[in-house]
Amino acid sequence: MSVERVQRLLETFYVVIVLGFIYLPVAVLVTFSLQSGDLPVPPFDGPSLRWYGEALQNERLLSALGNSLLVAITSGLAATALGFLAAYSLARHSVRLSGGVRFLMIAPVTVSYLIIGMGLLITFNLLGIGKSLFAVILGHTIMNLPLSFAVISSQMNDSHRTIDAAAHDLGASDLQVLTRIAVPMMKVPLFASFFLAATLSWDEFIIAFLLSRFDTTMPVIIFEMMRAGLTPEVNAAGTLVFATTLIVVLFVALRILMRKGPADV
Amino acid sequence: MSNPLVICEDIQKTYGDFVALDTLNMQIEAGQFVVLLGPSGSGKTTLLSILGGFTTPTTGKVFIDGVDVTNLRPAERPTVTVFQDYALFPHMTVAQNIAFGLTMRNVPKLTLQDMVQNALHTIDLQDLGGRRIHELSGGQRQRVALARAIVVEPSLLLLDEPLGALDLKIRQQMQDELVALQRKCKTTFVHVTHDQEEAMNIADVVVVINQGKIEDMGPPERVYLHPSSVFSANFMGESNILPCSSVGTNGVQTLVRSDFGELLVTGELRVGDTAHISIRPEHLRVGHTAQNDQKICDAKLVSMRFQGAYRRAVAQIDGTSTRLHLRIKPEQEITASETAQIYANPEDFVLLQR
Repeated sequence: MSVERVQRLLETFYVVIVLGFIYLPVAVLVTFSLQSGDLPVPPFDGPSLRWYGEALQNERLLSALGNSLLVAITSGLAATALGFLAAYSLARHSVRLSGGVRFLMIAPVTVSYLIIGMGLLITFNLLGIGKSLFAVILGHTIMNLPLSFAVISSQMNDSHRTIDAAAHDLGASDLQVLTRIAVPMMKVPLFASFFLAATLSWDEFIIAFLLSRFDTTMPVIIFEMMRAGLTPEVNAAGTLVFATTLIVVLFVALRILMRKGPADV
Repeated sequence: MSNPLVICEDIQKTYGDFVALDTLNMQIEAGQFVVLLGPSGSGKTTLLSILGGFTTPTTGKVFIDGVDVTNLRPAERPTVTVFQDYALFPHMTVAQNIAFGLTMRNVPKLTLQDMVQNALHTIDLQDLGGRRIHELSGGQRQRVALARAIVVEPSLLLLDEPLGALDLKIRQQMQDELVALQRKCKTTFVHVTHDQEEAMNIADVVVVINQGKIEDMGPPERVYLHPSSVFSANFMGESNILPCSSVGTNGVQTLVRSDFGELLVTGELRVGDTAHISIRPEHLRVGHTAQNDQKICDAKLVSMRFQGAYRRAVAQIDGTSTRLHLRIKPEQEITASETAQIYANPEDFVLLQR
C-alpha cells in the first residue's frame, strides 16, 4: 500500500469517528424508540411502532407537545418583534450611547440559562407572576431576545435609512414606512430570527423546568418520564422532538439555499 | 419675469461650531437645470437636503412656489429627492418601485398603471417592469430612481450626486439622458456634483459653493469665462491666476501690474489695491498667431505633454518663479526648454477681486 493510500484511509477513518461521535447518541435514541420490548437496551428486538403508539396516546405528552408548540411560536414571535423594534430604532435614529445599548442587548447570550432561569424565578415571584406556561413564554422571549436582536441588527445598514427617507419623501407615513418598507425589506432576517428562536425554545429545558408547574413543555415531560423509569416511550417522545427540530431546520435551510440573489433582497 | 420657484433667504446651518452654510441667499427660476457645484464639505449637499426637507436650517427661510416650506416635512413639499445610492425598495419590482409614490397619493389603480407604464417608457425600460432591483445594472437602477421621482410630478426634483456611483462612460450617457429628461418633463432640477465637467455639460445655471457660501452663480459659459472669484476660477476648470496691483483706473478699466507686466483689464480697482488676474490655459498662445493678441511675456517651456487634441505645457515667466499652464496645438513646432513669446488677447483676462 502506498503512503497516500494509508493517508486517505486514515482521513476517512477520522471523519467516520467524528461523525459517529456526533450522531451515535441520536442514532441509539432513534433505534431504541423502535424497540418492541419494555426496555430501551440491547438486544434490539424491533422494529416496532408500539412505543410511538403509547406516546401518542399519552395525554400528558400530547398536551406537552401542544404547550411546546405554543411556547415556541409565541416566544419566537415576541423575541423577533422586540428584537426588530430595538434594532430598527438603533439603526434609524442617532441614539446616545448606541454602542453601549447594543452591547447590553447582546451581552446576555453569555449568561447561562440556569442563571437566567433562577433570576426570572425570583423576579416573577416578586412581581406575583406564578409558575405557569405564561412565565415560560416570558422566559423564552427574554432568553431569545439577544439572539434575535443580533441576527436582525446585523442585516440592517445605513442604506436602509436612506430607503426609509425616500419612502417618507414619496408620501408614506411612519406606519406605512414600517409596514410597507422596513419590515418587508427585512423579511429574510425576520424569518431566520423567528425560526432560530422557536427552535431554541422548543428544545429548552432548564428555564421551562424552573418556571412551569403542571402545564409544561416536552423536554420537561421527557425529563419527568425518565425519572420515573426508562422505557422506549421516552425514546419515542425524544425522537418526535428531534424530528420536529430537524424538519424545521431543513425547511429553513432549503428556503435560504433556494433563494436567488443577495440575502438582503 | 415670473416669480422664482425657489427662494432661499439668509439660510444658515451650523453643527456645533461648524458652519455648514453661512447666510446663503439664492433664487431658482422654474424650468431650469441648476447644478450645485463644490468640493466635498462645501455645504452643497446640506443645501440640497434643506431644499428637500431632510435638514432644517438653523436660521433663514425657504420658499417654494411662494409657500414658506422651512418647517414642512419632505412629504409635504412639492419636491422629490433622488438619493446618491438610489434608495430603491429592494423587495419590490421595478414597476412597484415606480408606483410607490402614486399609491401613497391614492391614485386610482387604472390611472396608476397607465402612469407607471408611461414612466417605464420614458426611461426606456418598458420590458423590465417585473424585474427585481438586484437584477438591474447601475445605470438601470439610476433610471428607475428617476422614474420613481418624476412619476409623482414634483415642482422641484433634487438629485444628490446621482451619477457618482457610475463608471465614466455610463455617467456621460446618463448626463445626456438627464438633460433630455429635464427638457421633456420641464421640471426644475437641482443637481449636486463635485465634477465641474459634469456641471458644464448639464447645467443651465451653475452655483459654485465653497465653505458654505455661494462663490458664483450663472450660466456655465459665464462662470467659466468670467468667474467672479479666485475659487470659482480655480474650481471651474484650469486657470492661471496671478496676483496683481492697480496702477490706475478710469472706473471701467484698470491698468494692473503683475508678472505679465502692465495690462489693461476690464473692472475697477482703486490705485494701490491688490487683486488677482486670471486667464484660461487655452487663451495663452505661443507666438503672434491671432490678430487681437498682444505680447504678454517671455517664458521658458519647462515641460510639455501630449494629450491628444492639444499639448499641455508648463512655462516659467522669465525673471520670475511664476509658472503658467498652456495648451499648445499639436501641429505647432515647439519643444520643451525653449524660450517662447507668450501672446494673449487682453480681453480674455479676468480681474478677480475676491
